[in-house]
Amino acid sequence: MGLRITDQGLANSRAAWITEGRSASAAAEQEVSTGRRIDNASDDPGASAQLMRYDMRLQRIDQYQRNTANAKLWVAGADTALQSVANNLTRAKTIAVQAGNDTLGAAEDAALASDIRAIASEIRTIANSRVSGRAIFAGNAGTADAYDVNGIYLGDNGSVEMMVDTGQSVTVGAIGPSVFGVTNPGDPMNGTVFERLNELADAIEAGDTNLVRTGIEAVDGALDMVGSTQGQVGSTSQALDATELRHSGERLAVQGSVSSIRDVDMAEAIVRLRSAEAGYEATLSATARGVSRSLLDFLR
Amino acid sequence: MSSFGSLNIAYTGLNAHQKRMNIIGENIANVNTEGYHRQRVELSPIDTMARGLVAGVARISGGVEINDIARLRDKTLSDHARVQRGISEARSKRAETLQQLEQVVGGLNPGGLHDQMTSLFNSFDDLAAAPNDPAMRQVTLQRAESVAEGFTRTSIAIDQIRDRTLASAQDNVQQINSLTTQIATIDAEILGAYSIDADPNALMDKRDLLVTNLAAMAAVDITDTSEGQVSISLDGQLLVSNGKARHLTIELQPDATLGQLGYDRVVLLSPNGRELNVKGGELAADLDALAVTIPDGRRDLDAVAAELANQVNAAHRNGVGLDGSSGNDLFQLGPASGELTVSADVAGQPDKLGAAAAGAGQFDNENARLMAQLADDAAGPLIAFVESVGSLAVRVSAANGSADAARAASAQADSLALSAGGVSLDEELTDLITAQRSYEASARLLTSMDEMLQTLINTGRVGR
Repeated sequence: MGLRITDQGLANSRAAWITEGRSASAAAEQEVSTGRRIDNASDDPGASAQLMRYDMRLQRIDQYQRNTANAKLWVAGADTALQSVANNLTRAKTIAVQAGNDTLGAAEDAALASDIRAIASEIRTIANSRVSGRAIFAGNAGTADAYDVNGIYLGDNGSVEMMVDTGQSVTVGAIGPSVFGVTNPGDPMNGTVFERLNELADAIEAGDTNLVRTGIEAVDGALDMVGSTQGQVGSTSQALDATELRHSGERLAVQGSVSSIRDVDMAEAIVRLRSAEAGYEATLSATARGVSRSLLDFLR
Repeated sequence: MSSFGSLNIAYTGLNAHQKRMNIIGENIANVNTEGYHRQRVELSPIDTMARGLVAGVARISGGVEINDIARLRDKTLSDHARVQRGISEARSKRAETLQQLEQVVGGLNPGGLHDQMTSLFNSFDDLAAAPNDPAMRQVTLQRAESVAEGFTRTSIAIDQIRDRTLASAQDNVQQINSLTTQIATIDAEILGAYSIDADPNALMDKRDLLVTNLAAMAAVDITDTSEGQVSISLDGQLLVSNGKARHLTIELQPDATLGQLGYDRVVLLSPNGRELNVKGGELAADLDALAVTIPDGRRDLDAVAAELANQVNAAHRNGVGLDGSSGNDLFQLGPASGELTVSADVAGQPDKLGAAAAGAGQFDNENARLMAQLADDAAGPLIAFVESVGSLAVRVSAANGSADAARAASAQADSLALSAGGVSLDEELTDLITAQRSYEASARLLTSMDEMLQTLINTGRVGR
């Protein structure tokens, strides 16, 4: 005798078929409506481990983009300050040349000297420029200003660095001594630009053309220092632009990978949904027919 | 042969086929009764050489007699279905527990632990951008607090899964005890039915259904005794025998290893206090979850929390705060097991966050940068978390697969057992027709005999 088909067994099987069809079409429906293939890590353990790594990398890229933006803020602040220092120094040089060439009266010399002193004070103000509350040219020292009213450097030699990517830090800005000089007796480069400018003003006031010439050379030297720092800042700025581009490129690539792992192929998902629904409907109609059939239908 | 003997044959036929129709009626009535096994009237010809049916009638009489009302149940198939059901229940429960753990630990959920940790590391970078900014320090400290809370909350959620599982185990033991009591009671009734020669089939169906429910909760060994009773044992200890039930208990015992998690060991004790080992059924899955799965889940989480606390603390201790202090911890593990908090070294004191390297300026950010880089470290806490979630996901996925397979095997075994013992209406209706026809034929035989006797009696009058 073959396998007996019993009414209870058949009823159980029918219930199971209907449940199966229902849950298959519900799962397909969920995929289509959420657009996601993976909801729990266990749906696809291998893919979800990758997904988590990509997810975290995306958040880190966001942070590195923010870090880069911060670095650019510093670089732009330094660049603006340096440009304005260079403009002031050029103006000081023009004034000094004028004072050295002409045979001016003492009153005119005094006026020119006062202009130079005003420029010196202006440069000191610029040397104390800040970005987000911090003095750009003070290194890492915990000080509000890089130079005090007497032109004494208050900062340290630490460089300000920012991480723009994993293991990749960028030095932003410059420390005061490399731009404005430092008071360091014995060093041939001893003396800050403020001291030099005040010496120049003194020479103009005294009408000492030799000292004025020395002063002009000192201003040229200061311009060179600013120029070379400006060059460094400029190349950092370019590097940051390149980093920004790389970040947005990587962001797109990682997002693409995340989407290819997590998101469903809509066309495929809709086809699966249709076939799951068709299967479910077929089960329902087959069950509806089968349920009404028994020998009773054919007995008088 | 006696003339009246034929009447007797017709009578036995009527009787037997009437009984058949009764039993068919019972089968049809119970077509949807869970645990009912179809019955069949076993007929055999009366051995004419052995005995007569009616006293005073000559020996050579014949006819049909009812031997037995058989309960058609294939013991092998039923036992197989029971074992499969126990395996299926155990695996489903195991998958359920693992799914709960996965839900709690998360991994892919936005705002989960990995998101909170990444936010903390990102805020170290923000701190590096402005170590002088008190607001940024405050934000970093808050992020550290939410990471710590996240770990503590997750650990409490795992403890709650354990509490629920323990309640389920206790509930299952109570149900097992109630089932064994009911089985023992019915067994006593079956013994009574046997002694008065009554039909115990309905009682046995009822009992077997209870035994099946029992096997779904714990894999028990079942032996049939000669009087239709069962003897049930678990891990070699008798639970039901001779119509008496013995009860199980659950006991919590202190344990050194589990104690580190704040858990007790959960043991199942036999009536005489022996520790029992359950192999299948929901209770087995509960006990296994309490002994292995849930503690493992907690340990995995605690390991990630320890990795985070140790790595961040090691880096943070090198840092110098705005106030010049150094050697401070950022996180504190404990005091309670599974607890993570912001260390008292820095809690509420954002100035103590060590962004600067030792010996550098007050506004240095080197240490903040180094701490942020832990996020990208292949041996860092984030990757440790990803690996932990990954290994849990593999276990959940495997458990889901084996639960599905066991469910299918159980359904298959059920349908095999049903195909032996279940009622088929078509079959019963066919039987009903044959029984009805046989009854009609027997009645017809009775009429013929009557006519024949009448003829004989009339003939006698003629011959007188």
